[in-house]
Amino acid sequence: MTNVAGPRSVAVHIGADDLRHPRHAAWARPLSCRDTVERLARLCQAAGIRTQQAMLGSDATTGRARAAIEGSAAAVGPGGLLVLTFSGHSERPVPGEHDGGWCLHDAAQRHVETAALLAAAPASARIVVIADTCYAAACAAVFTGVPATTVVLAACAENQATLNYQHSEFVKRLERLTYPGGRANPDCRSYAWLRRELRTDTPDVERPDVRANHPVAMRQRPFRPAPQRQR
Amino acid sequence: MHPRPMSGRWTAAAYTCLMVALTVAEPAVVSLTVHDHVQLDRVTGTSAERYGSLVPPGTTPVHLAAGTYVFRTTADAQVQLGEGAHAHVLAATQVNGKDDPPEHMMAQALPAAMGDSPPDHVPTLTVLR
Repeated sequence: MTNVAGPRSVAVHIGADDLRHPRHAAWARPLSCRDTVERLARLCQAAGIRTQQAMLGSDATTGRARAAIEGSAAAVGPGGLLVLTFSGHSERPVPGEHDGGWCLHDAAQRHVETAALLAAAPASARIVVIADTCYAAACAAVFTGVPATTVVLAACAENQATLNYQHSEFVKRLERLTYPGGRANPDCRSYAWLRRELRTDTPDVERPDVRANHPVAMRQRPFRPAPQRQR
Repeated sequence: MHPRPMSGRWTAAAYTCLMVALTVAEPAVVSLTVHDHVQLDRVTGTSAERYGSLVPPGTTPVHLAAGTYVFRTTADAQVQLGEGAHAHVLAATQVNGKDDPPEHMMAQALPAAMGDSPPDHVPTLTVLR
């Protein structure tokens, strides 16, 4: 039989723990990036996402990130799934100036730029963004304009900060709730459930959130991969 | 793609945070009075680990072994030290800011935030002995 192009499941992981931009270089080196990338790559693998790429340290440049995000968004095809994860420092939105962004090796990548790159995904595709950073939910407000159904799993609200620890409690909990030990948690049937569980027993100063640009997405099973390609 | 305009939606979402660092020289009981749910972390080298359950709103006595602890809150907080307690309490929000001068030595041992801005509002810490 001939190959028939079908939906694909792809993950892009960014761990920006080596910052060279003058504004960012003096900050404390993010400690959890590599652990977060490892955990989320494992989670995606367990979810059946076979095509993954990771950018860490000096590889996590704006140029490479843009190419990877746009290329992956375009490649998933109709009905496909793209998981985009970010771990590192963030710039907070400044009203009237910018919507905030992720600090990559050479510069900040504004959320509005990331939204434009994600727009390469077809409207029928699904995108999951995992933001393990300060002001994490800020990107969700910008990603409302992305045509594909987009769900943001944020380590905290847009007006909250996370602390620079060796391991991200948010990511550890996310892994435990979705694919503990690499096996699907049968209780994790929707993003609404996941949101509830991620927020349980968390301090008011740093509470994770799950937001979607289409309400119906909250009823979807988290990380459900695209159907297998037909051969 | 046309991202949604951002007219003033951040104005109601102020970043409010007080970070408190407690250094205890020997086992002690301190009473924390807070107005929200607070997580106490014990600093371990360059990182920290969660210490005990969430502290609920109200006044809660907390037993601490020797070490350094941090907690963050969105409202005014009070720390009551027991009589003779060998403890040092510091409002650390500004100390841990990314633009702080290096002479803030305690900042070296405390975790920093993963973002670029200090809080818009820092609640008040009261220490009672």
